[in-house]
Amino acid sequence: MENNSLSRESKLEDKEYKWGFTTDVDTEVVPKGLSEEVVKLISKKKKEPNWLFDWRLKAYKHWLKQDEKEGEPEWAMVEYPKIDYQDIHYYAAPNKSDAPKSLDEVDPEMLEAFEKLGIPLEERAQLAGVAVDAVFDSVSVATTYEKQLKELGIIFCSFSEAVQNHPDLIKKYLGSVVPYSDNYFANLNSAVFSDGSFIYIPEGVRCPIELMTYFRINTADTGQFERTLIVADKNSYVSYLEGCTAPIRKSSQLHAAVVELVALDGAEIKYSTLQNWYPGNKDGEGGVYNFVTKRGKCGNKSKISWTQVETGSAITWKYPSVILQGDDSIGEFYSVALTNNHQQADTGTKMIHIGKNTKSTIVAKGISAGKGNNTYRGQVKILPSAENSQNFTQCDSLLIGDQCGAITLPYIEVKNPTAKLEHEASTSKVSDEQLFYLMQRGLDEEEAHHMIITGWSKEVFKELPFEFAVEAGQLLKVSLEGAVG
Amino acid sequence: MEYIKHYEKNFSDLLKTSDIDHAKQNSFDFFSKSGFPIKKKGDERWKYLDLRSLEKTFYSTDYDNDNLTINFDSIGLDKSNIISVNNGVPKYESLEGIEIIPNELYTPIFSFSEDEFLSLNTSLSSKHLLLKVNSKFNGKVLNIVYISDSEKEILECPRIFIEVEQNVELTVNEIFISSDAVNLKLPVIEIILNENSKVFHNLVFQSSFTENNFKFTRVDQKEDSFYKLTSFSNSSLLAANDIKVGLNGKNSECDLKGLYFTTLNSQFNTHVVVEHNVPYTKSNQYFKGILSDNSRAVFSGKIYVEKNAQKAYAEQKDLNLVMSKGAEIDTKPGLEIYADDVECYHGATAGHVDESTLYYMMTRGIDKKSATQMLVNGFATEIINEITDEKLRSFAQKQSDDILPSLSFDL
Repeated sequence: MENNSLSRESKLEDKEYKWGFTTDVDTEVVPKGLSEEVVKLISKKKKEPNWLFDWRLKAYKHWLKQDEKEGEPEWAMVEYPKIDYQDIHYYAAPNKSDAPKSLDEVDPEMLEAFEKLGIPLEERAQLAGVAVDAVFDSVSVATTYEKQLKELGIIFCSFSEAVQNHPDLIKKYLGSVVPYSDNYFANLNSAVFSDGSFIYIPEGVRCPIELMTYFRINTADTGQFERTLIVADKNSYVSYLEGCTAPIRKSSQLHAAVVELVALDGAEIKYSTLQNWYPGNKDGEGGVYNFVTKRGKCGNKSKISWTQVETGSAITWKYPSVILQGDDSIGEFYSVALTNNHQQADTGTKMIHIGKNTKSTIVAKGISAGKGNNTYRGQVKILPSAENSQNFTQCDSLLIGDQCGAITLPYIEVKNPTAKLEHEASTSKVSDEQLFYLMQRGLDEEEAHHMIITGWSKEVFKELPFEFAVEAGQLLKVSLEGAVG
Repeated sequence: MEYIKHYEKNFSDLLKTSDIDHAKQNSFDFFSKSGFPIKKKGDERWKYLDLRSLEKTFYSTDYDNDNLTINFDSIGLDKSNIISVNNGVPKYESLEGIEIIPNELYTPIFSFSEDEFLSLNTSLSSKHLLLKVNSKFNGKVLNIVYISDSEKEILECPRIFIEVEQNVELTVNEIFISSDAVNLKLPVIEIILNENSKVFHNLVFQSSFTENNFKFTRVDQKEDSFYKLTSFSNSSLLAANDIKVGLNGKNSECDLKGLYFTTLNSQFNTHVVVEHNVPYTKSNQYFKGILSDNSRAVFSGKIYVEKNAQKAYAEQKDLNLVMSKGAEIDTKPGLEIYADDVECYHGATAGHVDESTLYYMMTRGIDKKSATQMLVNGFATEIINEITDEKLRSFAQKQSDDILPSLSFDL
């Protein structure tokens, strides 16, 4: 295989020479702007095989067409200044020299947040982005897991490594769930994606650890155009956690990621997200624009479950979806989305029922505080082939303060009479009686609010891996600071 | 777009009549720009309906509205007060307690740019019928009948405006009698409810498999007013029931209910918007659908609560029975809330009749078909019973009884 990839590389180099394009391969940052050359350069830097470069190029050309014809999607209930796509660096290698040398150099505000969230001491330095060689010796933990996973045949590595070491798997599954032409942002990502994670669980293997543990120790800034691909082979199981409760200051403002999940027959994938990126300051300046495409595809008797706690980002545009293609497959979506200050969120899910006896459950909780707008946008589609399919949807919104908004937009499309579908939703504020009761017992208003909101979100938190459920509760508390009273 | 030129040429007399010429021209310009809302970018209101047939038909006008006898028994009314026939000005029999408002005092309670169909109605309507109801009409019934009777395929845009004075209560019945021609109807009714007034509005669409009927209801409610609308629809080729209620006074309340049967290849769109613009308002939306054959029903509802409209209470429900394999329901019960001290709920369901109930009935010796029909009948009757006019209610019940045995139930 090595020979093979070598020859591909040399071919690629030939090709680039032919195109007459030369750039110093060692530069850390590609100049601003998006062009065919930039796409080429990214691909070259990553030493990608030809087919992947072609795929990127196709995506880029399609994006150009889409940009000219329709531009960015405008249907979402979010407002932001127009993004200048020529004013963005599309590739930047992780810069180590800028990283703080020790915890003493880290923003005290951030350390305070770690404290409140109860993040273990050993992990704080890593999360704060302290250069790896200065960090405590946590590498050994990672290597222990690595060995254990290897014995089971589980592949868990960065996307770039996977391209080099497992090109067949990537070639087979890349774009199989989210094609490069899927939507504007996924399209952009397909052209310029930097890195991400790749997981493969072999047939019949139950991944013994929650891959989050491993990930958390190995977290690295994979850039603004992440691409994650998880393939669970027949009858396998994996639980993956992305992100963490710690506040992350992304260096770039636009973040367009793609996540693809493939659950083959009988497999189960549990994907949890905790997103707490920089939401901008109190006046709504700055903050990350998070435009993410997440989708999973189910084979027969398989199950995909999305759980998300979204508290960060200035704008969240995210619809983790499940295509229930196989018979008897199950899709789940549990979400808590919180907006405070000037944050805006337009998030929800899509459940596309194609196979027979497919089931889906949606539980979405939206909390709006400050001047934030929080939109739930979900689609449940029952196609004619989906005999005896079922869906249950519940989306509740909570409003704190009179400057915010809660919008619920469920799209329900049923084309089969045997389908059973229920949708319910409510919007209200925290009940005065409950508040009064708690305050009468000696809690202050903020604590009382927090307690009620945590209880209200419990349905979603219980889907999270245990230790994160605790942190998630703390996260809501930290994010809501100052929203009450 | 060819049909727009056609309208410009053949409807020129309508475009000019009336005292609000400039509004007509403006709204026609608006319509010309976009045409019928077919796959318009960013416009989701008509996205699920196939409106292409409207572009292909070149409608004409027919002003002949005399020599018409109505068989009132067939529509469940004993008489009519207002008859709108073809493109003529709606005929109004003068009644004690109702006066005609002069044209110059009229301003519509909606903007024509809200919807392409509304702009077309504004530009091609004949003289509007503008009425003011005072206390002498209190407790009485106003019957409005719409009839199409022409050899040609016509486009009609009747417009009726009713302002209800303070403390007055009345019933408004609207019923459509359709023909077998491929007509396009765009009737618009506007109702203003002044302080402490009450309106019971009943709306019955009669079945016609050739007609396109886009019915618009716009309501403006002042303090302490109460508005109740119950609609009954029996499939048309392509029809819409488009309702928008503005709760603009404290303690105003509206109750909107509807039942739609869709059969064969008919398409029916229910579009409801309730705007809570001031504090202490209450609304309820409750719609039910029974879909069979290859028909399609669309429900798109919205509860909008303005920033300062605290203490709003709103409910919205859309329940659907999908009876056949080819039928499709697309429902979108939406909430848009900008005030925090509110209680809003919505729900939607789609499915077949409950299996365990069916099983229970069958163990009692009722065959599957009759049991299903009984259940569907019960489902429908809940809404029919809400029709406040007794005659119209029994008429709707009879219609429903006639439809039920003919529905195809794939089980």
